[in-house]
Amino acid sequence: MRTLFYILNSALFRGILGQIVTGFGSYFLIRAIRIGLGYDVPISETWSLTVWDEPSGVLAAIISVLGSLLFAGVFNDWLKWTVGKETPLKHGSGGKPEWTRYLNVDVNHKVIGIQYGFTSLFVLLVGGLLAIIFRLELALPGLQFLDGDNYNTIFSAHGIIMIASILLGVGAMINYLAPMMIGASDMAFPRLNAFSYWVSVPSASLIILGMFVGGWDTGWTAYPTNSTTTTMLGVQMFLLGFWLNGFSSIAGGINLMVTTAHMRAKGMSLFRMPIFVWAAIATSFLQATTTQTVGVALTMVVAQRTLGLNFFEPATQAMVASGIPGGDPVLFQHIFWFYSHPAVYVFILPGLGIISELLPVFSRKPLFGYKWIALSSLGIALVGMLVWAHHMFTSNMPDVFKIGFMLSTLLVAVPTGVKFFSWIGTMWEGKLVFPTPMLFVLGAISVFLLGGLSGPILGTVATDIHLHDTYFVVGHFHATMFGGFVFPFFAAVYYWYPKITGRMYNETLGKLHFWLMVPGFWIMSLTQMRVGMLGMRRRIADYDPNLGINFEHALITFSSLVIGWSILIMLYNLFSSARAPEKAANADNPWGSRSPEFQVPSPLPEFNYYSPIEIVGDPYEYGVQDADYAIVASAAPAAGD
Amino acid sequence: MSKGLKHLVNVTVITLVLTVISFMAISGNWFLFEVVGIDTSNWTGLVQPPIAASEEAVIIDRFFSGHFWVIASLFSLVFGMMIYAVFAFRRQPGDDEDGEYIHGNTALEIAWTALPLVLVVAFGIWGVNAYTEVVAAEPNETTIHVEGYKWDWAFFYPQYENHFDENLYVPVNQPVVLKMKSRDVMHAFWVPEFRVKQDVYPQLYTGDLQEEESWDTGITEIRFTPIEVGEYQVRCAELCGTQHWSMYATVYVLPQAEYDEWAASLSE
Repeated sequence: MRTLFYILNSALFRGILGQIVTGFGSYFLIRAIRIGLGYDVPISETWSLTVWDEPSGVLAAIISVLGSLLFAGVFNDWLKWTVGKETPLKHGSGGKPEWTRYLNVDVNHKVIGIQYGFTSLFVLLVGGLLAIIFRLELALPGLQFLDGDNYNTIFSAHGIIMIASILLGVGAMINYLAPMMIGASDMAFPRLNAFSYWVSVPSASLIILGMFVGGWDTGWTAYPTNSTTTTMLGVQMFLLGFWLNGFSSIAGGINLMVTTAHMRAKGMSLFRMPIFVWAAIATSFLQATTTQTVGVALTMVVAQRTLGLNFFEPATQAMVASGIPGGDPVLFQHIFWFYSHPAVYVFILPGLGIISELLPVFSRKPLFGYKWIALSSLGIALVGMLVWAHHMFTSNMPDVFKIGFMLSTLLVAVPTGVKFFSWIGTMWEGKLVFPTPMLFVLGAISVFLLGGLSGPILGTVATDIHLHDTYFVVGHFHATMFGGFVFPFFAAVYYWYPKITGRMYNETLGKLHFWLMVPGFWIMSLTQMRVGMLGMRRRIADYDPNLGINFEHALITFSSLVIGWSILIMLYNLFSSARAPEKAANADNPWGSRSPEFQVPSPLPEFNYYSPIEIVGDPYEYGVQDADYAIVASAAPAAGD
Repeated sequence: MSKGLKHLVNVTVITLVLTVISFMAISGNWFLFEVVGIDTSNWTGLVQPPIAASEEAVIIDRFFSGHFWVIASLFSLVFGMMIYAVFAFRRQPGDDEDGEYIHGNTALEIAWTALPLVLVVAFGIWGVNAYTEVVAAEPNETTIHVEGYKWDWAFFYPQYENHFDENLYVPVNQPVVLKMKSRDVMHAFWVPEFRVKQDVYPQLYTGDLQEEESWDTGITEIRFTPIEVGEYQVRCAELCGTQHWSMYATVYVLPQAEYDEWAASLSE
């Protein structure tokens, strides 16, 4: 009963309720006003989910976001500042059970990290369910139970929902780990950090709502003039939800960069930081600088649809006759991909940082070429901002652009290669052990290798012309996303699980998860690449039986089911292990890590460290006698000190 | 032989063997088996392209093959070393020591930065050459006008008084250029066996206000020279709505005599 009370009082419940109330309330109000003012509103379709009044819906969606955040209490402290009130940072659960912190606006970076992590996993399940649905459709040729429109909606939603899940997972890792790795007690801007998380709740809600209010047939890439003219109105919810998510990235990126600039422990020079923090910095730089452009692109589509501003519709004779200049659909592609390519580096840089972070611990050897690895993250970020038009090799771009972007795209292979070779160098002549986190690290390397090697063939224009918009691309990006994010994320979850919960996960289930997921994933990726090369396009509800790929599709669907089950096994493992009544004996530092957070007991204290830590050496000096790294007080100072 | 050298020799052998095996498996070019006289024409490769039915496809398939060699060798090197390390360097029971204290190696770092850079430059040059060859205009091209619309293709033959057809008819071994536009949203023209693809746009009006629909401005072009007689499918390769999945047309590549018969029948 008390549990129900806490849930109904939580920011999560209030935020969702607030979004529903303000959203639907303002929709009908604005619609009524528009009808009264004589605008062309589909009056007879008051309750239609697919034919609703678009301008009212767009404005209502924007209002619902504000309503959600206000009702949840995300703006409370800032609103108090506008009237001159003081707002000390609130730490702890305020007398309520600890678990209620995760449903409320909390400023502690570890709570926010867990909130991001849970939301990421929830959203992953939603996206995964959508994938299973359309994979069941594609298992056999012929349309089984979907039609062109709902198929298009389901895969479009799958794409953006998975992207949201990855961004949330990136937020989880960076927010949980970075402050404690540098010896800080929190991020530089704790309230902004909470806002960055809470924005994702109305964002995800709008995207999911879009599936039910008409759906959309534009993919997550929303190219005009399909996106500007489609009559599937869920597209507006998708555009707005996607747009909103950007704030999380921008604010989070700024927060992390300021935190690492100003809040490192005494003695922690830049090249003495744990390597994951370098990855976080490169990621945050990209998030804070490029996200704005996709916001612009999405705004332009919303504006063209809702306000009639023409950005992308080419001029017709009639338009030119009335002096209306035409637009260019390719403009959208440039602005969209200027973010959306660096976005994939946002997705993978933290995961590659996790691989670099964990390998030395499980090899008992220094990280090979630490400085080169650190700089390679920056190198990938910088070069990654110069390659976007490789998504546009079949467009009407001038040839010189295509050549230029081909060369810059191939160049990204160089810093990426540095990472792979350094990882092998770290393992070489080490003393390797293989608990579940290490298995996922090795799985990540193998899958990211597969994905990465299928990159250059897409980067050279002549070969990309054949492969663009085929399932080969689908295989490439699933492999890079799983290898660069999903497997490292799971490795991180298993690795820090004892630190977060004070309990140990079940090692047998962890290994079962690995041995189901990685081979399943290999089979799925290679088969996707195969059918793409043979002539299957992306984003199609049904494929040509004459392509002779029916067996391959059954295989892809089967593999996807294996992957899905393995993730359910992981979730069961994580939840059931957390209920162990007592702290696990080895929960403080089961891996023998030198990192500062493993020198304090699990779960971590509220402010991470009992007193400021001091760095007196390099982070990965395994194999060296008496090589201290961090001097960390292992207990609270006695009263009176 | 020192232990370090032994490991390197093992890894070199593993890499070379794995490279050849994975190249053959990826590309479907089972050359080692052909060399010993086994007929592999019915065997497939993991990512083998369909038949090469155009001159462009031949150029592009050669490039694919180059890529497959690099993919096979880099995969074998990294994955091979990783699996080797998993076995050769696993912690033995009873051993509590840390690993070798190796910080890094500047010579190696420079080598594995410079060598990939050389590969990048080489493939960049190959890429420029392949691309310019594929898109180059040929003398004596036949021009055909194409309009994509939701969800089908319309072909107009200017040589034959703008005769309209739902399908594309071309003579074998003759260069063809298609000038394309869309009636509504973006589409894309693709024939997998020809390996060439081009986005198709609602027409960007850049011509004279007085002109009727222009087939010289605001259009996109795609060129190919078919070399194999047969029937192929055009497949729309840009998401364009409900029936994107079934937006097909047929390309009939005809021997010259049959093509001439077809052309003659149009004026009947």
